[in-house]
Amino acid sequence: MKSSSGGNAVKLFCVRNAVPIVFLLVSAVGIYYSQFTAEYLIQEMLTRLARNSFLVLSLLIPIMAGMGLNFGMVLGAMAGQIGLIFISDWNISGLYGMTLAALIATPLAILFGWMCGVVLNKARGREMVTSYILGFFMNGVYQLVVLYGFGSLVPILNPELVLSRGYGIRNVTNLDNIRGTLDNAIPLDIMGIHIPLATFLLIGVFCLFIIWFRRTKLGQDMRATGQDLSVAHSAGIPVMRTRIISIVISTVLAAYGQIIFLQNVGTLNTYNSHEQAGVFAIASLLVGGATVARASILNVFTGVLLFHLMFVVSPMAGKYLVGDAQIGEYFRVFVCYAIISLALVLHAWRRHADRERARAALRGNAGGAA
Amino acid sequence: MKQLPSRRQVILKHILVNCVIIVLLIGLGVWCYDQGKTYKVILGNYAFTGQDGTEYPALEAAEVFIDGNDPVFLLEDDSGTGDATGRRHTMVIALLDENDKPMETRSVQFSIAELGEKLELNVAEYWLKAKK
Repeated sequence: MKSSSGGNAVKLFCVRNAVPIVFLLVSAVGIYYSQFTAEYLIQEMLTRLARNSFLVLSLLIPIMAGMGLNFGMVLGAMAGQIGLIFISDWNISGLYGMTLAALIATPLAILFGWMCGVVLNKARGREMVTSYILGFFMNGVYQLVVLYGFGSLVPILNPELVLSRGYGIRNVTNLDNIRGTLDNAIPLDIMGIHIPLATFLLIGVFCLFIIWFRRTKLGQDMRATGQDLSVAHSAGIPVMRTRIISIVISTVLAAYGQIIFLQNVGTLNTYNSHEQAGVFAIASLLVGGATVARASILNVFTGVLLFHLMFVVSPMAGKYLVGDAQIGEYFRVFVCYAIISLALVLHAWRRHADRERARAALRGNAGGAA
Repeated sequence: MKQLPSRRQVILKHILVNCVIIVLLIGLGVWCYDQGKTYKVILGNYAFTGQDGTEYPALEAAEVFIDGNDPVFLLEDDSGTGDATGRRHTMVIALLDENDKPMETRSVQFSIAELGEKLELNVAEYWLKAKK
C-alpha cells in the first residue's frame, strides 16, 4: 500500500515537473557532447543567471493576479531602453547612469503599464494574446518615436547616437559607460570564476520583495483576484484596479530588468533588444516548471538555469554530433517556442477540464465528467 | 476620544506624500546626473609662463591617470583626451624616463568648473601645482 502511494507520488512529481525534467535530460546529453569544461559552464550560468533573473522575476506578479504570462513586459523593456538612450546621450557613467536610466524609465513604464492594464481589463480571459499583440503595437510606436522623434522633437546632442540624416537613433547604441557596472560593483572571484555579487544581491532583494509583497493587503487581493475574479469582486476587492496595479508593477520591474540585462551585454540593439525580452523570459519561466496560473521564485531560477544551459551547450553539441553548430541552434529555438506552445495548450486543456468538472459537479455527477 | 481623519484629509495626505516622493526622485535624478556626468578633458603638455613671469618647459614624457582610469601618454607639446566622471577629480601624473619607466609621480586635484568651457588643462602646469 505504502509503496503504491510512494509510486503515485513519484509519478505525480514527474508529471508536474515533466518540462524541467526533460530539459535537464536533454541538457545533460548536450553537456556531454559539447565538451565544455565545468569552469566555463559555471561562469556562463552565473553570468546568464545575473543577466536574466530580474526580467523573469518581473513576470511573477501578473501570474499571481491571474493575468497569465505578461507578454506586455516588452513595454517595460522599451521604457528601460529609452532611459538608456538618454544616459548615453548625456554621457552619464557607472551606477549613477544606471540609476538615472531607471529613474527616467519609471514614469514611462508606469504609463505603459497602466495603458496595458486598462486594455487587458477590457479583454478579460484573453490577457496573454492581447498583451502579445499590444507589444507589437507598442513596438511600432517605439520605432516611430525613436526613429523620427529622437533628434528632431526630442533633442539628442551626441552625434555618435544620431543617424547621419540628423534625426533618429542608430541601430546600435554603445553602452560602454555602464557596461558591467553593476556586475563588477562588488568584485568577487572564486577559483577564477567571476561572480556578479552586486547583481545577485539586487536579485535577492527583489525576491524578498516578492515574498513580502505576497503577504501585504495588495498581494492578498491579487491572489484572491487570481483565484476567482467574481468571488474577489463580491468580497469587495477592487479587482480591475488590482489587475492594473499588477501589470504596472510588472512593467516597471521589466524596465529595471532590461537595464540590468543591457548593462551586462554592453550594447543596445535599439530596435530589436526588447523584442525577444518577453519571449525568452516567458520561455525560461515555463522551462522552470511554472504554468500560466502558477509560478514561484524557484521556477524562475530553475528555468533560467536550464534554459540558458540549453542556449550554451546546444550549438556546440550540434557541431560535435552532426558537424554543424546551426543544427543545435535550430533545436534550441524549436524547443523554446515548443515549450511556450505546450504550456499554453496544457493551460487551455486544464481550464476546459476544470470547467467540465465544475459543470458535472453542478449536475451532481462529478465522477462521470472528469 | 480622537476623531478619525476626514476623507478630504486622507486625500490631501496622499497627494502630499506623492509630491514628496516625486520631488525626492527628481532630486535623486539630478544628483545622479551631476555625479555621473562624464566629461572629455583635453590634456595638453605645453610650455607655459607662470604668474611670476618665469617660463616653464613642457614635461618630456608623462603618463596621466584621471581618477584611476586608463593612462594617457603624452610627449612634449603633445595632447590627448581623458574621461573625468563627476565634478571633482584626482589626477596622477607620472614623469617618465628614457625607457618610459616612471621616475616621479605627483597627484593633484582639480574640478571641472576650473577648466573653463573647452575643458582643457595643461599637464605641465598641473605638475608644478601637484604634491609629490
